[in-house]
Amino acid sequence: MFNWNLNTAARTENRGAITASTNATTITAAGSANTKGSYADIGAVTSFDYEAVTLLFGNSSTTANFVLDLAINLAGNRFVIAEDLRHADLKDGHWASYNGLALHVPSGSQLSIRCASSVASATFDILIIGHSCGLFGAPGYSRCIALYAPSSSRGIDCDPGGSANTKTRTQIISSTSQRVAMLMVCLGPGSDVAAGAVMRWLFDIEQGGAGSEQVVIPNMFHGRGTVSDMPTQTVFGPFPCDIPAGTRLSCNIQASVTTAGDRVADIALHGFVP
Amino acid sequence: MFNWVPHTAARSENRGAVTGTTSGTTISAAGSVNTKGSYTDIGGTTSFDYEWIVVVIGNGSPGGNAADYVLDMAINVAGNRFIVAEDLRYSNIRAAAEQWDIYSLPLHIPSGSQLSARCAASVASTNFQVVIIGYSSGPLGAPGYSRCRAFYTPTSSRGINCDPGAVAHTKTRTQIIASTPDRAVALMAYVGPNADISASATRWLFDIEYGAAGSEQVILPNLYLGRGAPYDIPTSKVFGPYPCDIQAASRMSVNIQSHVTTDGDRDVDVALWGFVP
Repeated sequence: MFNWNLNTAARTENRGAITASTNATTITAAGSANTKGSYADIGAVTSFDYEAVTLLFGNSSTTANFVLDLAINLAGNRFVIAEDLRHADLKDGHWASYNGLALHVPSGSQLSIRCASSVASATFDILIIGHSCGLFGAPGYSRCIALYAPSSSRGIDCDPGGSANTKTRTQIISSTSQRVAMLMVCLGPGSDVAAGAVMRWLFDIEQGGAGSEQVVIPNMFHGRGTVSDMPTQTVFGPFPCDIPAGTRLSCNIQASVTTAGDRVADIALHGFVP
Repeated sequence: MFNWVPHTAARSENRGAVTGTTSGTTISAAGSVNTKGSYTDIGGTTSFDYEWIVVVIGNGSPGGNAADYVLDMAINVAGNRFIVAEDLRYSNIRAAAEQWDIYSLPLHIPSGSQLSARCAASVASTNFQVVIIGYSSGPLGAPGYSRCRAFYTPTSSRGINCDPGAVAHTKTRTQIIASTPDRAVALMAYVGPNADISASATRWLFDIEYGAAGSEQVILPNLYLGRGAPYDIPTSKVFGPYPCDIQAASRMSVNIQSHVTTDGDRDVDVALWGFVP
């Protein structure tokens, strides 16, 4: 049982770093595209309870989209504690992170990860840093669930439409499966990695039935250029919220350009279950 | 006075978005390089207390020269301006309008504050755009800290050059700050490419440490980052904030290794910040 003291210091430990080759642990997708591969263990078992975890990853074997599950194996039972996290590496050289995810990992757990990729048998490398508490000594939540169904190992394509600077709404999930107390957003470039011009997006994340949506996060700002062709830092949040189970979530997005393909972003949402 | 109720829901509001052009608020550097320009207000005054803010920075140097930036976030309450986050980094050094950075900052902003920002850049008179989203609480209803202090002194509008040295897979230590100005209870880092934007694929592992020379203690072990073509610089550069408790007057350093040994390619620049309770 976590004893919530308002301390601020935290122990940390690393799982998955390979210092001899300045590398991290390799995760390999299945031999079929968009199919989860086998789990790979990430370092040794945890030596203390984690209340937050940081995932740092990159070094993909090829340009591809990935979704990954983070699991713990405790006394022979494996549980997925973060499902379908996104890694958008459609241009070579993309590195990303999930910083300080508020997740409880019991001491003695074996961390492991599996992934699916848009390219069969693609790999990427990942390591994990465990923190004994979150900010303000906060405890971690039980798990992080995907609030979208991955398509081609990416999020839901959200097309702002053919009118510049005008929002168009896309449903991300019709009904959330659990109450969530934090919301995280990952934005990717859809399937387009050859943007014709520099571009920008503003987008709202909303909850509620069609026609009665309420804005949860207003006008997040992002864009991309013509060298990287990809959004650089892709993870927003987690943000505080309280969204009941059975809720419909959507994204209302506008772009500064109207070129089909260029203007599309893919959105993945995740919620933290208390 | 913040009343800490461990609820989870939060109000949010946006400051700085310009929906008519799908843009943020433009912040311009001074006419002299590496010199802070004037403050620019970001949207209207805040309509409730924020305890958490998200700062999105992008669209740097549109149509112009790529540049390194440092920026101060400030609030103006009843005519008095206070810096709440100093020398945040924005490394848009690869090409115009390429880099987008997202900072999640546990900071208290009183209701009725006018948010503003100013910046310095390695190219005179260039600019970027910023949008801020304010939250009425942090995760689990947490209150925000008073301010975010820079634990480095910017050079050429970037962080401290850390060179892993000419031996692959072997760590080399660089001091980031000799003595921190305040106690910090959360630590944040930003890793840029220093001055090199034409590197081959590179990977780094690096520790963030505190303590006197020869007796450093690792706070964050083996953070992982890399870069590759065609972007040639790290894509996701913000690390944290992470929980910690670092006393004032602490020495901070970075101990870094790389898998390449080419001079320049192997270098990064590191900026650190601490959140003051």
